Amino acid sequence: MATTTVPAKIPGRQWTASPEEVEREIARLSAIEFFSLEEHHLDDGNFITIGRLSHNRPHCGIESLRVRLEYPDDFPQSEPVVFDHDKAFVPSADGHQFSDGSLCLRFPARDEFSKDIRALCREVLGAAWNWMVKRNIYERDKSKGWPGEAEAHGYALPYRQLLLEELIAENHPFLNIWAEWATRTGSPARLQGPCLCLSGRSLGQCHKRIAELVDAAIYHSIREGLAHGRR
Amino acid sequence: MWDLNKSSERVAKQWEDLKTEEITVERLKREMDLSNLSATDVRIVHGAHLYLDVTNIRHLVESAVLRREDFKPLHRYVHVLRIELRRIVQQVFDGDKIQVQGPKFHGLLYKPYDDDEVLAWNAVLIGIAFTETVRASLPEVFSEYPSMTPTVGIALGDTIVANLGARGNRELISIGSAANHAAKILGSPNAITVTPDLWSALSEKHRELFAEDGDNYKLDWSLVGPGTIREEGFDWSAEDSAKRMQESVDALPLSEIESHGAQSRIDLEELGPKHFKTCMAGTIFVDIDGYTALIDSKMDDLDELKKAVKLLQLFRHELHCVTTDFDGLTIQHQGDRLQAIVHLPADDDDRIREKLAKLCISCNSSVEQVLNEKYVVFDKYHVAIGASYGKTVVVRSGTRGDLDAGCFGDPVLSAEALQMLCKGGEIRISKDVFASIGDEAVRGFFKFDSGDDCYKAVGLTWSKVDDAEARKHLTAKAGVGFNMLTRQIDNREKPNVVPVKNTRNWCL
Repeated sequence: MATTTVPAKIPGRQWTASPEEVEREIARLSAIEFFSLEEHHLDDGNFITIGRLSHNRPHCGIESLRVRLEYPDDFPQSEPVVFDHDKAFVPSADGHQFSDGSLCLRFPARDEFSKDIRALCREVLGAAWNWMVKRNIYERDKSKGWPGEAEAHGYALPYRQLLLEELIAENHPFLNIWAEWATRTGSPARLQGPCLCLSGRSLGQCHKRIAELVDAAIYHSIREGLAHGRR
Repeated sequence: MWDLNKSSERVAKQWEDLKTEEITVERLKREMDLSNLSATDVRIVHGAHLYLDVTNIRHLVESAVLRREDFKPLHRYVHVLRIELRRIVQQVFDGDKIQVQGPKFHGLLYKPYDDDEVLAWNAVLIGIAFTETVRASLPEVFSEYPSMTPTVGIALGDTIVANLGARGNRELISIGSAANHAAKILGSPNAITVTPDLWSALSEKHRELFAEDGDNYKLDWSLVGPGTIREEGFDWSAEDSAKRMQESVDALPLSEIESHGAQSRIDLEELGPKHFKTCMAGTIFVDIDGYTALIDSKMDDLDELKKAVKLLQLFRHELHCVTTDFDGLTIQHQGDRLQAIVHLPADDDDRIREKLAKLCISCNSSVEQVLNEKYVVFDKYHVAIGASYGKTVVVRSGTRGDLDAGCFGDPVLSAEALQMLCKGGEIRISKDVFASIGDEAVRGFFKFDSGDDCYKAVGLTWSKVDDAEARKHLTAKAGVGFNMLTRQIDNREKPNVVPVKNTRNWCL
């Protein structure tokens, strides 16, 4: 079988500079069974596609949503942003939709999408498809809230939640105590200092991800008035 | 399987047809009667509604339906009684039979016009004749049923009367609070109960024959007797009645009555006094909550009344079609209520029960997702649904051109009782029907009601079931559950797993 070498990461705008890569992306979009690609535009390096997501409800027929994917310059380092193209829904925080009509698919700090150009459009459209199903259920019965897992609104609480999850996964008592103390008191991480896991390396070289989450949680807590501290 | 698109298209087409259909709504006048009502004629009738029921027939039915041979005499008993009651109403008192609902007989007296005092008293006389027929005449003819206890309810007021019969058959329905009240005050054995409206219309002399009984009035049997009817100039006596019923019995020997099972769909047209069917079946009652009050409120506005009648036709047509989609059989339209059974596939109890449960949800879905979404003429109307399962006898009794289909059996009584417990939008099913539901998403909507010993669901539609099914997959842990079950657009029955990333949604 012939293999096509596709770079996993294409920095900057390079990917739209290659007509073949754009064609391959169009082919990938066309192959997604729950999405029908209607149009695509490449204008001054900006790639935009429009198509329809469809969901067949067993008894109640097909519900669909026309979406617009705006590809970022640094695709696939960043994923395309998905918009409710026909403004079918009214943007709202509880309905997980930004005021510009784009869908809140994920919390950016969670690495839920791969950076693989071969898979990313399917992952993003899959998340958008799920969003459409959830949003329709939510619209039919708002009393039950958003049907599925969702982050708390804002930045501070999701960062704290993410930090907590990573600390639980790490399961290191000193690290846990320090992270909790730092976020409570608003003390930023000292990347040059020794890591609290007692590895002998600096925090910046060892548990840098935890340190970044601590700093982000402190920063956004102060910004959103959820905590008092120094920054 | 219920399908939103199919239901929507069907209702849209029916609505278009109804828009162009000219319905005539007229108040019944002296020169009119109810004998030649066409399918588009509706009459506003001021009259006395009479219901007769035999209170202890239920016990006999429950034991008799278990064996076909035992039911034959009971079938003949009900048939002969029905013919005699109809004769009393039509030929002795110049009234009309509206409908026979199983063991219940519904009659209407609307003459003399514009004289409520006489009308009300004549209705009471019919009640006396009904009661004496069951108490005195029938035991002479049917010695095996010596002590049957009748109960009669009578109410006075305006109702609409329409004919739903196809192929030249009469199938009258009557809607209005008077018809409802007459049925609701049935109950006390050997009693004739009348509503305050009817009691007030009586002359002072006749009012004294009644004693207060809660909100209603009950006839004092020590002050009247069967002789009263003849004294008032009507040609009826218990002896004549017994004689005529004996003739009816002789014309219908038990040896000529055939009973069969139902391996294929029952054709009601094939049933008659000499032929009934016995089968395991689910019975469903679907009642439009609030529709009677709507009719009462529009009685003085003929244009509005026409709209209300068309709305009923729209509901009735759709509920009938949904029933047919599930291989169900519409037994009767009883005013604004539908009675139907599901008996196929024969000998597969679980599948029949599951179909019955799905039929309940489908009826509610057609109402809530289609009729109440797009066809709100006055207000949204919800349906109250009761369903139960068990051995059922399906009959059609009466005379040629005026046969009433009906069902006997414990599930019929149980389903009716469950329906009457329901508010609009509620579904109540018996425990065995619930036990046969295989779909977990559907089961999750039913809650056991220990007080009424049944399972109840509120506002259950297929949209909610679809959403519940989707929710199960959508709540899979974010970033871990990649699969969301959906179905192929062109192959609905075959589940297809579409790999979809289930992210944890976020918003500022």
